[in-house]
Amino acid sequence: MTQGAGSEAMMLQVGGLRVSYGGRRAGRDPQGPILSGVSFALGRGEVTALLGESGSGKSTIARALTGLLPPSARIEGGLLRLGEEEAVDLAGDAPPWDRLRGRRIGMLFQDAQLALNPLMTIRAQFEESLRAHRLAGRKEAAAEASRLLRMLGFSEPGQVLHSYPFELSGGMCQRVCLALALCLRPDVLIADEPTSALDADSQRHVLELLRRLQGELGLTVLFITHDLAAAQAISDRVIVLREGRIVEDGAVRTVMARPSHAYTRALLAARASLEAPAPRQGAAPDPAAPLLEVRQLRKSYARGGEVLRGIDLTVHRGEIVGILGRSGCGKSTLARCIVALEAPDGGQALLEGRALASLPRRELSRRVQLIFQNARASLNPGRTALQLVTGPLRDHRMGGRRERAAVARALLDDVGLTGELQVRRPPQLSTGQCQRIAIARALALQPELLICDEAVSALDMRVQAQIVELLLRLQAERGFAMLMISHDERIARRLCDTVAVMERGRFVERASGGPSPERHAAGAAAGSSAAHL
Amino acid sequence: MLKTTLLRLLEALATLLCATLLLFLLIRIAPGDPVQILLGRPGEAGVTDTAMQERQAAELRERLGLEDPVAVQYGRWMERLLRLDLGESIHTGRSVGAELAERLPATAALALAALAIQLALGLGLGIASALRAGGMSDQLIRIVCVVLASTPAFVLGLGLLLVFAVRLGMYEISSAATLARLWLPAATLGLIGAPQLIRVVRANLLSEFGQVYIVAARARGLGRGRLALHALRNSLASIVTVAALSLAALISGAVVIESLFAWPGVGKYALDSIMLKDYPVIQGYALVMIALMIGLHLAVELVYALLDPRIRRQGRRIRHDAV
Repeated sequence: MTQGAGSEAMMLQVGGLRVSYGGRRAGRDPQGPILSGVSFALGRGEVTALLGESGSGKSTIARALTGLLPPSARIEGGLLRLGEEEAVDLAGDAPPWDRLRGRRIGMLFQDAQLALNPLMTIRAQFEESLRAHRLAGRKEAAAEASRLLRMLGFSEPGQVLHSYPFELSGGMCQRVCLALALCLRPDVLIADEPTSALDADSQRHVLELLRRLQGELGLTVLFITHDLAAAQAISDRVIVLREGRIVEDGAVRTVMARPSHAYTRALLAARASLEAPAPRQGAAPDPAAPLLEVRQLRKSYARGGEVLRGIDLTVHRGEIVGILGRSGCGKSTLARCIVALEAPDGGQALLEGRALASLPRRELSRRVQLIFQNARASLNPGRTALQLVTGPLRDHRMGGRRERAAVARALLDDVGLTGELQVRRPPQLSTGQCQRIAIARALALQPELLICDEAVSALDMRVQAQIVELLLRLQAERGFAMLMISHDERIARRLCDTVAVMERGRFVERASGGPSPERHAAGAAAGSSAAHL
Repeated sequence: MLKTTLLRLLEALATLLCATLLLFLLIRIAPGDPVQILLGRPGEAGVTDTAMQERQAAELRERLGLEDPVAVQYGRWMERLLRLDLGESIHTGRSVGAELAERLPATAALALAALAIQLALGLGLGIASALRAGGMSDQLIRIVCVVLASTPAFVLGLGLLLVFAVRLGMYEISSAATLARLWLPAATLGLIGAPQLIRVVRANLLSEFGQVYIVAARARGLGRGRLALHALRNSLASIVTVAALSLAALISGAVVIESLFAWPGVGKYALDSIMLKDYPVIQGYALVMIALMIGLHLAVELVYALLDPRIRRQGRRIRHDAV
């Protein structure tokens, strides 16, 4: 196992963990190992960040340490040791999960709302957990749950206890999950991307709570993330995982200041590049020709109240406009109203002076395209990349069969999906590659306006940086206007000429994009576009 | 919740009203003449005096109100319906309501017994094969399901009759509607319908087992039994839907089995009336069936709301800043 020195201070030690997918039973091609000999130790009362991109195997580690791997995964070897106890052979027949799970090792998941049973009240879920471990009866369970919820910043635990998960926000659900894990008083908490699905404010809140409680309870935490900033904010130590191997393991400050491995340096560089504003490459937007004008747009839902409360927005030809706001502020509804997927209750959206809603569907879809956050879900999984991109061309009867294939091939080359990748289907491609297909498909009809609804939010930072670069390059080459909807300030400020901040269905702040003098120097008029907003 | 329920009830009434009109017209558009069937066709054997027969027919038509315009006939029917009077059979002259009321309990008993068998098999074998997905017992259940689902009801019914009534003498062949005579037709219908339920239970449970909340519950150290309960609870909506559809099919479509086992239910009665073009009976039967189906759908919607707080407690979100 890990070095003997200071092992009494170690709460959890993992030695030689090897996991692979696609065993004989699964009937698929045996893939390479997901984890090839991972060893690390968590110091008692320490927060250790496990940093890696999707596919690096970090969630596999979490699942292997709690016996929650899917049946298609096989643990080939690995020891788990808690404190001074006898090591558990993870590859053995029956590791004592009944004793370990929940009680010794607690776990948090990325999507807290999905991690709670939708049909049970929060109170019932606390009761069930506590009673399963014989830690409390029915009455004590409610009292204990209230106490924990109060610790987690809920001022009215009673109300939360009688709620169902769907009645709580994502951040609230994650706090409930944390309380639910803590009520079993585990020694170790494995948090698998607990904040990645939350908006910036909730993210900060949950991180602060986690850090505070960890200190108060002396909890040992393994914090799994792909987010450098989150890792830096919460952890004492950081382990960097790449392709199933640990490439870096050390104190946070040391790793961030002097990364020893090239991969860690690449990660740090990707973050820096996302934070730096991009010099404007293409032609300056033309202020004389507003492409999209949105006037006093309003929309309310029967059950959601007023979602858009009078939105005014102008996008010029060739302009990149950002809309920044946290989840629930109405920015996606705005996008859906603009492409007429939803009908607004008041106000209108004009495309070159003509009401968007009155345009024939066919013309609208040729001129305005939308890409979504979840690229994989927006693509038909049964079609190849090439078929997906030729689809819109065929629907719009553009060119012959051969021509269309050539156009699609060129587009896919352009977004960096080359050769054999073009005949693969979404399930065989990474999320970043799927987003590349979505971009190529959106551009196939040469739209004048591209709306990106959180198009990079679900991606790893390095891939995010790549897609942002790709969008910037394509925009410069093709000159389409872009409406970037995001909750990520860095990305909005980096990409956009102007950024409008949205809060509760209204713009509360409008500003020109990143502090990049070149961007505005590129076009004398660009600076004035904020006024048109 | 109350508002939704009332709204649903209103919708149901409107649907019923539309159904009466459609039903009335459809039956009259269809070829065939009840009076001719009753008296025999002119020129047919046994009909000697054609003129006399035609006079009789005209008289009968007049008496039954068949000479009036269709709209008047419809109005008359609706008026009686409001008084919950389904009219009298052209053929026997007895009250349709009474005739149906006499036969419906037998059909309902058979349908409910068959549904109970389907549910017992569906839940039991469905849960078993989900828990052992891919294993030997799962494979075995799958094969049995395929065989049963592809057997015509009358073949299975005949087979069971042959074994239990003829060979073993455990089943009495008569036309009484007694409990002792219920089990064999119920078993036939139950076995024929069970595979669908088994597959639905299995598929739903498996898809729930893959959900994050199940993994999270496992991570909290809950046992297999609790996990299965969680998954089952979340699958109930689909299971209820299939069970309700199955019940609908059992009530309205048990004709073959009822005739095979000489079970005095409503199916055979309806079939005979269709042959005789006995308008009031067909209308009455169809209307009762439609009302039953609408009621069943209504019940299912209410059960959904009971099962799922997301339907029951719509719009009760706690705001970010409230707590």
